[in-house]
Amino acid sequence: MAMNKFTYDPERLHYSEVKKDLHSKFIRVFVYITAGLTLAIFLNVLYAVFFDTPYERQLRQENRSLEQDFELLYQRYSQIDTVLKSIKSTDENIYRMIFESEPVRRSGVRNTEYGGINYLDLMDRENKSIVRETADILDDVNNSIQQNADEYSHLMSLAGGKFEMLSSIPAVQPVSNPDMIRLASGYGYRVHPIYKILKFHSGMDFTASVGTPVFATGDGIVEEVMFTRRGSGNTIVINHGSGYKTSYSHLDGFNVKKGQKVKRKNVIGWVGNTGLSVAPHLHYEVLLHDKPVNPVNYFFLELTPAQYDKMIELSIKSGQSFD
Amino acid sequence: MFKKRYYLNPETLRFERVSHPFCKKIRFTSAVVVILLFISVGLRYGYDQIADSPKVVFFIESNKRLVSSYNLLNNQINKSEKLLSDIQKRDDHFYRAILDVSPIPRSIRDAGVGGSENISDLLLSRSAGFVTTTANMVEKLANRVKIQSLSLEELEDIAYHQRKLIAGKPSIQPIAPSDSFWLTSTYGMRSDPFTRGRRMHPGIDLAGRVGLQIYATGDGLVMEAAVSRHGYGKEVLIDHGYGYRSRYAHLHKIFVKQGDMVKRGQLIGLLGSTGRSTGPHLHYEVLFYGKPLNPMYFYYENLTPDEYTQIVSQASSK
Repeated sequence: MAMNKFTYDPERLHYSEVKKDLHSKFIRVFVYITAGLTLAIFLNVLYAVFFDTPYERQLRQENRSLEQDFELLYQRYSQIDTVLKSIKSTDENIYRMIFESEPVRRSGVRNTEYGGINYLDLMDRENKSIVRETADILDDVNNSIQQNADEYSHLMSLAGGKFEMLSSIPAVQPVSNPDMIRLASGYGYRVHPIYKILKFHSGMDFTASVGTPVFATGDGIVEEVMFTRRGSGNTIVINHGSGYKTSYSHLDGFNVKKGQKVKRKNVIGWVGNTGLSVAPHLHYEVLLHDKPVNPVNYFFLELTPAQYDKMIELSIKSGQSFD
Repeated sequence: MFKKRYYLNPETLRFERVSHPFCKKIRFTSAVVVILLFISVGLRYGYDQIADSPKVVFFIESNKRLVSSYNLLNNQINKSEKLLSDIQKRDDHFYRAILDVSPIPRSIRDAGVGGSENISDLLLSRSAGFVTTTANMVEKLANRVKIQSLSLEELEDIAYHQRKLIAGKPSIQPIAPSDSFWLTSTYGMRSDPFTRGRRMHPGIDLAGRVGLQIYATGDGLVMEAAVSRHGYGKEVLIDHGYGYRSRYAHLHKIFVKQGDMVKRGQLIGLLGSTGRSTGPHLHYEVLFYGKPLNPMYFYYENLTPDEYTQIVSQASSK
């Protein structure tokens, strides 16, 4: 490159020397570098778009696996969920067939209802109607308090000073009932399971398998032991004194004799299906002066207030009794 | 670089093209390419060191979202498990106790369902712990759901039949309590009024005036509604299913015919004295697989006249 270079100008027909000064050299280098860099960057971008670095490839792989696995699991879960929904409706169908009413959900949504009014709804309504409804609720509460007042005052008058009375008054459940799993139908008007008409159910039914132990719910004397296949089936009546008696019906067998003294929680017999009964259960009655009262108020030694509320709810919701 | 350039050839004193032999061109081009590539790689490397490429950012975000999807799925599975537990409790403690069927043993509930593929085997990302956890949860739920589903199917069947049995099995007295009647002959051994010998009385005799209404004591199908050949006079025989049958004999009138479906409380005839009878009465039998049982065990006098009337009107309205 020692020799000088010339360019040819075809219009002027002239050869002119190419200057080799620093300025043009500088520009030339600058142009080359810029062009080179631009090209390099362009190549980079091109490469980056079409190819993955090892790290990117790994991430992409992971991502795809996670996504496919999720698809798989979600699909499987959806299948299961569909089956679960049909199970739920079968469960409700069975419940309806047995109890002739809608099931009470135990777990899940918190119970925000009282007397049919949802607290969450209240927030949308205007004050006037809320006040009215509150007044209605209060009326209901007052009425039920009045109804129970008689029994309570009787109890209180008995309890005053007479501690031995406390051990004889019916105060626990006649069968072991953890988590209140047992209760089937309560005191009051119910559809009779056989006659299919509304009939007064004078006691409380506890579902249990044949052979489940039945307890005396208070100290007392065994007044009657009836061995029969008719009506209430095998029945025990215990006299607790002060006007209180309890009866246990449809038993499978007896563990006591007439005239025997019993203490609270003594096993007096076993749950059966004798007499006019559609399923193994215990029909339990509390009688005050020979009149049946609602047994739900006589579990106070065993139930917390919350459980008591729950039991009332359960016993009311069942549409059909077992006997 | 390869523009047309001329040089002054000292020998020919002419301007001649500077020639660039081909190999020179190649060498030059390849040098350029190599340098470019180096710069390129260098740039890329430098860039990777300081920042995440958009792809990396994208995948990391995407992965994060997938992880939260898994968490959501886990939550849903938990909810389903709670629902299932609710139903399972009812199954074990309520339904099976009521229907008098033994609960499904723990060993069967907890066992895996054999045969079908384990979903864990189909997973791609076996290394990710949370994926296998979710897969196990799904699998466990699947097993429980399957067993519960089979259990409930069984129970539904049993509950259905139990309902039909309750509706069919004789459970009321065949004459209304408001009508005047009385028990004149019980079930069991008695002295036969005609032959004077000891004979098994396969039912009960309820005496009353001719024309008293006689009602079916359970839902069923009328098997016979004609004059009997065995001295029962005008009789009706109803089949209630599950082995139970009821017979109403010495009737004055029959209001149903063979093949009719009847309901508990439905009017089937009138009390009479037809056939081998000493006076107007209803001879009532309850049979279980052909064997006569004591009809007293098939009703209980806990219905007021009003309640019995309700049952009768329900039968005619259905």
